[in-house]
Amino acid sequence: MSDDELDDLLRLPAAPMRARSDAAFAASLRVLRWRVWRRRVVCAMLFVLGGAGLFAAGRLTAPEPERIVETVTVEVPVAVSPSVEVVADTAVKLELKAELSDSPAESAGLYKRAADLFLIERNVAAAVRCYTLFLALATPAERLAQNDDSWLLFELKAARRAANPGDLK
Amino acid sequence: MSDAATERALVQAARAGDAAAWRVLFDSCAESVRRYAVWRAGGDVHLAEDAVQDAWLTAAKTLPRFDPGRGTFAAWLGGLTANAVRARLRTARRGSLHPLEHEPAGREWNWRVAEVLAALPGQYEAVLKQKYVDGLSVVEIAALAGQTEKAVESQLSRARQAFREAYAS
Repeated sequence: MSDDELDDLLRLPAAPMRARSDAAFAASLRVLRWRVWRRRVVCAMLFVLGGAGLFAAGRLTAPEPERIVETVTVEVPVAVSPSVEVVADTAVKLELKAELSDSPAESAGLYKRAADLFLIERNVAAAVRCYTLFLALATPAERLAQNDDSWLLFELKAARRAANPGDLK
Repeated sequence: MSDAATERALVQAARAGDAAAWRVLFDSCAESVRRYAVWRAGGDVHLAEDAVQDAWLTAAKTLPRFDPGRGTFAAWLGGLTANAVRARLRTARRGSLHPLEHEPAGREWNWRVAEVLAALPGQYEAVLKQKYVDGLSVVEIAALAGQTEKAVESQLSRARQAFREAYAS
């Protein structure tokens, strides 16, 4: 093959091809825009799905709402039941103070308080002793039955009235 | 379009679906792509037209993958065009097993040239393209490649010889 023949083979032939140029542009532009639109749709879907996923994950992993425990202190009236030691100590001290007091009225009051505490302690014998000393020192008005008298004092006052009717005067 | 920054901006805009940017890119390369396709198709204008259409569609589809840092848009599109011509040629060859009566007799000759061009090493094909498609002189090719004229002449000679041998085999 001569050089001229080779040149003829390789030389670009003059061929008009403009007719399909616009078609190629239009078709490629459609593809380009379709890809852009599809990418936007996919991004939007991913965004929505991601948001939903995060929401679901948040719902699944969120800790239980903290329970607020409100501590309400309600005072409930209960029978007085102080510890035996405190009661005994206090009752004994009151009885001792009553014995040492020079004032009969003070002594009477102290004996009564000591007797009340001995009764709470269920030390009935000591309570009877202190109530008896209280009644011995008490004024006539104090020897009358009172609303706040314990059952034991009430009974002792009643017994004393029965034995000494003159106390009522 | 010689300004790389401008081309980069146009590609970015086209990726976002800007028709005007795509029009500029299209017009800047349409003629060179058309000429290259016809040359690579061995002068088969119909095959070249189909290949150019395919190349533009592929460019639109794969534009996000185009990296301006690795070469110009025209060079990238040239690669797509060469692949499109090769694919169209394979399809045409399969169809030619049952040729139609109106099949032009010269197509076989065109395809033979196209196949030989497709089989040439890349550097030979490139220098032949510069000479026969772009119409560059040896001096211009040497200036573009940063080589001496002697080196370009030598490479052209080897490329022509390679084509001649491949065509004759």
